[in-house]
This record gives sequence, C-alpha cells and structure tokens, in this order.
Amino acid sequence: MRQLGATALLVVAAAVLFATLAEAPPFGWQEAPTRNVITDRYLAPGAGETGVLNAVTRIIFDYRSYDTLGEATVLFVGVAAAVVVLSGRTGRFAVRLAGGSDDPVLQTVTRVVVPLVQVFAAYVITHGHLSPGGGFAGGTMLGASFVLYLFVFGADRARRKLRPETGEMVEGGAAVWYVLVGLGGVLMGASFLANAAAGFPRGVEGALLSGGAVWLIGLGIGVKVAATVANLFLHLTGED
Amino acid sequence: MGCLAFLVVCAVVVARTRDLLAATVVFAAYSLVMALVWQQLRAPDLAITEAAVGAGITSLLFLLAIGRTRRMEDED
Amino acid sequence: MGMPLALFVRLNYMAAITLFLIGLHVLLGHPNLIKKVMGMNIMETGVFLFLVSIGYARHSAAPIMSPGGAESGLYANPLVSAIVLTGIVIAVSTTAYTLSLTIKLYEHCGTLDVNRLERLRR
Repeated sequence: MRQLGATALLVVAAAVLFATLAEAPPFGWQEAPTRNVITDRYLAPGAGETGVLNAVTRIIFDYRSYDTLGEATVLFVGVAAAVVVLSGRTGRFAVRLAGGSDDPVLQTVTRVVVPLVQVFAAYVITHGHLSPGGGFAGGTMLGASFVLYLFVFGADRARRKLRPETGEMVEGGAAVWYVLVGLGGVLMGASFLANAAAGFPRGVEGALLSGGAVWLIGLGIGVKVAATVANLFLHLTGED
Repeated sequence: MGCLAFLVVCAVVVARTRDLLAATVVFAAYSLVMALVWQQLRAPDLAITEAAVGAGITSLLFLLAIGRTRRMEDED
Repeated sequence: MGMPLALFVRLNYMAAITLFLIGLHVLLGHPNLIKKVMGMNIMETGVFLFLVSIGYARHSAAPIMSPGGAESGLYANPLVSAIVLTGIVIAVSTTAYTLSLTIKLYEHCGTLDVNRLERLRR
C-alpha cells in the first residue's frame, strides 16, 4: 500500500515537472527573464560599488550578508545539534573509530600534504573577493586538512593538536566576529552589515586588502567553517 | 552532455547498489563530476565549494556513518 | 518548435529533473536510512543543477570582473550561484544532523531498516 502511494507520488511529480519543462525558457537564452535590472547592478563592471571583483562574493558577503549570517547560524546549530545527539551514553551496538593508522606511507604522505592543503585553503579564504572561492570553500579545505590528520594519526594525537574546547571557542568567536563587523556598520552611522556605505575602506581594486567589510567577514567565515568541520569530525569519531 | 549522462548513471547506481560503501564512493565521483558541470556552467565558486563540501565532507560523513553502523543493506 | 526539439534544448533541465526524481525515489522507496540520506543529497543536487542552468547564458563568462575594466560583457547570473552556495552549506549541515540521528538510532536499536524499526516499536 505504502509502495503504491510512493509510486503514485513519483509519477505525479514526474508528470508535473516534465509538463512544466516544455514551457520553460530555453537553456542558455541570453535574454532570459532572470536577467533584469538587479542582475545588472550585481554585475557592475570593475570593482563596482563594493570594491569586490567576484560578483558572487559581492552578493553573499555584501548585498545579502544578512542571509549569510543566517546561513552561518544554520550551520552552527546543525552541527551543534549533531554533536549533542552523538555525545552522552552510547548503546549496545556502538563502534569506536578513533584508532588511526600505523602505515608509514600514509603517515609520511599526510605530513607532506596537510601543510600544502592548509596553504591553499588560506589562499582561497583570503582571495575570495578576487578569485573563485571564499570563506566557505577555503574554510572547508582547512577543516578537511585537520580531518585527514585525524583519520591518519588517530583521535588522541588530533586532540593534542586541537583541543575540542579550543575548537568550540574559535567557532563561537568567529561567529561573534561576524556580528561585530556588522555592528561596526551601525556604529559608523549606516545600517547593520553595511560595507562601503559605512565607510569601510574599499582599497585599490584587485589588491589583496580591498573590499572593506567583505574581506573581514570572509576571513571570519573561513575560520568558523574550518572550526565547525574539525569539531564535527572530532565528535563523530567518538568520545574518549 | 556526457557529464550529465554520467551524473544520471551515477545516481541510478547509488539507488540500485546494496553495498553502502560502494554507494558512497560512487556518490563522491558524482559530486566531483557535478563540480565539473558547475565549471562548465560558468559558476567556478560553486565548483570549488562542491569539490570541497560535496566530494569531501559529505562523503566523509557517509563513510563515518557507515563505519559506526553497518556496511551492507541486507540485514539477516 | 516541436516537442522533441523543445526538450532537447532544455537538456540540462531534464537532467536536473531526472536527478530530482531519482533522489525522490530513493528517499521514498528505500528502507535503509543512510540510503535515504543519500537520496536526499541527490535530490538537492538536482535542484541546484536546475538553478545554475537557469543562470547560464550562451557565450557568457564567469561572473568575475577584471580590475579596472569598464566593459560590460555577458556574464553568468551570479545570484543563482550565491543561492546555491547557501544551499550547499545548508545541505551539508542537514546531512550531518540526519546522519548523527541515524548513528544514534543504530546504537540503540541495532538496525537501519525502517520496516524493522517499525516492528520494534510495537
């Protein structure tokens, strides 16, 4: 009965979606209705009104940075909830994964690869306003380098590199940093999370230190995401 | 177009296989090809994020979940 | 434009819908909880592919400006990229939460099969 209901739902969804598709604008159409005056403003040439060259970074850290604050909060709450669920007494079928590996090849390669990944992650975080990437991608890479270390050398050694309390402090501190940068806009007489309007220096376009609040927020998001990923995996591999 | 076909095939394989570990590996390949598609659609920010988050973190999450539960779907 | 051609020029949308439907099928029809989460992820990437395909225009460049450039060429729509970037991050946080619930459920019940879990409840 339930299988029948699922199949019926699937067939109805397929019929509706494909019927709508025949009326959709063609793929790659240059005058599609999604290109309007708002898109033109986001795509202002040069550094535009934000001092940022990457139009996607303009949107997520300047025009719509309030949304990104909410997104960062969702990530924070989601991972915190996962950690809360996994902590505490475990049941009959629990398995521990905190072992690590004794393979010398794996350990040597990890020692070489981890610093390279971290340098690249730092590049992606700090150049988010000039090139593809930004806080979220770079922060994930930074966190992933720690996860690689955690898997190869085991949870005990990883905990000595980054104590869980320190990770949680960094995560919360970076979230507070985001709000403080936003409040800086209020202090300077503009709105919350205002950038150029609040007098943050736009800098020379194309320079590393440009974009005002966007650069500061991107840095905070990068650190926060890295700490979130590291914390999540420290807890997922099991307590003790 | 080849990339799109690969995506659909990967999705079907994930749906059909009974081995969760194999499904996770195929899912990681799916995410990497998805990053290529983002690049072709002129969204390099998404490509770099998808490669790090989709192929990296999500696959690792599935691996850990399988490690702490069971690998095969059939329970007998 | 005839129906087959109309569908062919929307190949990306078709792939997106197909991925969405495969994900929905796994989410509804599979008894295994981890497989259901994978189906959810496939569904999400289907939606993302649809959105990014809307933002693409033929012969457009990636939405990254050159410094000092006053020329306004044709760029892909950056708004969909920003939305999908948010979506990817939200997707990974929901995946983490759902998988942690799944692990906890397994530690207490010893099964990931929805049908068995329902029998346990009775």
